[in-house]
Parts: sequence; C-alpha cells; structure tokens
Amino acid sequence: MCYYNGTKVTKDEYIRLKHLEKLVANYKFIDRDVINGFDFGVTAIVKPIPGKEDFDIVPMEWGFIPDPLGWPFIETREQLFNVRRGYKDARGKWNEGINFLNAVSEELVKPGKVYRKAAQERRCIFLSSGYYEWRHIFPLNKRTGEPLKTAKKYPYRVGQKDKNYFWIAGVWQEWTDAETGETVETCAATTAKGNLVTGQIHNSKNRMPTMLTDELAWEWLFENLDDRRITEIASFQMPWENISYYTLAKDFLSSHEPWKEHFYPELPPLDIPGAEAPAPRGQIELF
Amino acid sequence: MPFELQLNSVTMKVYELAIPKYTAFRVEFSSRRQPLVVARTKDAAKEIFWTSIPEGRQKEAEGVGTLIDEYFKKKKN
Repeated sequence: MCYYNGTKVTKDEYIRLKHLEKLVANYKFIDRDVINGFDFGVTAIVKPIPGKEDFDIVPMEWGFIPDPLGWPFIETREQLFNVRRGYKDARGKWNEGINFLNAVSEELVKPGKVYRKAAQERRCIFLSSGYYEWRHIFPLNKRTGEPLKTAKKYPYRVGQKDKNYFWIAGVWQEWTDAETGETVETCAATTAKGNLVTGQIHNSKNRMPTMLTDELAWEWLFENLDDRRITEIASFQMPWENISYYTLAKDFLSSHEPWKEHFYPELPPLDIPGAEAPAPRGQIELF
Repeated sequence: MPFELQLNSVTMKVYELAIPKYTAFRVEFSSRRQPLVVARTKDAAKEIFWTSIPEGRQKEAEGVGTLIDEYFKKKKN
C-alpha cells in the first residue's frame, strides 16, 4: 500500500496518479480554446507508444515538415518559412506557400506524395473539442438580384454531439533543423469529403477533418493497416447526424470567449432534412 | 469549454482536462489562490475521492471536488 495526499491507495492507483502528475505538468498546451493552424504552434496529439497498445499525449507542431531528405528539401527554419509563406526562387518566379496543415485523405498514400510514409508508419490523433470553419454566403445585388462576387464569411464552431472531445486522424514526422540541431515532431490532420452538415458550412471546399469513432481511432493508432484501409479510414465521413455546430462572432479569434455563440439574423439556416429553422435569438451563454 | 462555480463570492473557472482514462480538472480562482488541479481517484477500499495533482492540497481538492460533483449532478437533473 502507498499513500497519496495522506490517503491510502493501492500501488496501481499510486502509479496511475504519478503518471497523471506528469501529464498535468505538460498539460497547458492541450487546454487552449482556439489553435490557429496558420500560427504553426503546438497542439495536443495522441501518439502510440511503440510496441504497446498504449499512447502518450504530446505537444507537436501543427504544420507537417516533410522528411529533409525528401521533397521539398526543407533543411532549415528559414527554408521552412519560405515554403510555408511562399517565396521567389532564383529565377525570380513566385512559388505559392504550402502550409502542410491538412492532408487530403484520398491522396494520402499515393506514390510520391509527401505524407505517404508517415501515413504508413506514423499515424496519430488530434485531440479536439471543436474546430472552426467559415461558411461563404454571396449576398444578392439589390438592383439586379444577382449574387455578388465577394462572399460574406460566417464562422462556425463544429463538434461532435454529446462529446466534449473527439478524435481527428493525423500523421506525424520528426524533423531536425540542419543549422541548430533542434528536433521537433510535426503533424498534419487528414481531411475527408464534407458530409451534409460540414459540406454546407465549409461550402467553398466541401471538406471536413477526418473525425473518427473510438473504434476507428483505435485501429488508426494501433493496427497494421494496408494502403487501402489507411485511405478508407482517413476518408471516413462522420455521419452528419452526429455533428453539432453553431455560429460565432466574426472576431472570435481575438475574443476572450471564442466559443461563444453568436446569432446572425440574415444568415439562412443549413438545409437539413427535418430540421426547423431556429427561432431568432440574441447571443447566448453556453454555461 | 470551462464552466464556472461560485462559493463565498469567489468564482472558480473549471477546465476539464482531456486526458483519456482520467477525470481531472484545472480550477482557476478569482481570488489570489493559486490554480489547482484535482482528480477523482479510488482509495484502498475502492471508495472514490478527490485529490490534488500534485500532492499537497488535499483539503482544497476535496472541497472543490464536492462542488464539481454537485455541478454535474445538477446538470444531469
């Protein structure tokens, strides 16, 4: 028997609590309201422990950095910055930036693709309490009745019904800066075709992060998968009936309460069979 | 998303920690009290109790833990 905080606990429980201490010590990176991918900051990732059906929750840099020995030859932070933000090459030609935040599931394991080896050997899970997406609405020209060319963008928070946290499939890659020797673990989330709800919210691209059921998350992390199954799981479309969503204030990214619902009277509801349009209301508190 | 608890004019902002297999919360106080992490665990007799993570603030953990239990009980009803 052991004592924790003066209370008699079993050895197993004592070890569990000591393990929890370690997790909590590293926890600050998990509990953030909004993680903006374009900041390329750290995010909480579930990573399998090799040889065990167990995992750690670790901070990883969101923004996959490809193997420095492969394409596109990113060996230093400066080169990485250029690749992410775009740059002019030696001939003066502008190269568009590639952020490597998201990996398209349908192309994940195709030969020559940057995520192929990671998808086969280094799969992980993003721990998420909700993600943010913008719905594009094209207002009508008052004179002609035709849609305007510039869309109004309405932010949504999307989650999984009855779940505080859910799983998003991802892949990871260790990368070492050739100048400083700094080694980091980096990751990308996989994306699938949007379902009835998420497709209408992310209506500019009709994509959604690959939200997994508990069973599929387990399989993604721990099973030996062939390319066909990797693609199948990465393309999994969480049923639209399981999706929760609501609109946010347009400045939510700089708000102290970014998750707070905001109602837009002019915004048409999503076209969901059997769903009634919500009654107009003002801002509501979640708690 | 955090929820709030009130006691004796002190507001506590409670964040559930997303650590699989554990029930743990970080509590921030509107007073000058240091933030506290509490977790549900079992004693040797398999009785569930609240404890602080790390060790050292057992009384506070039990007090805050009781408030958290009450919050979820009310939410359920």
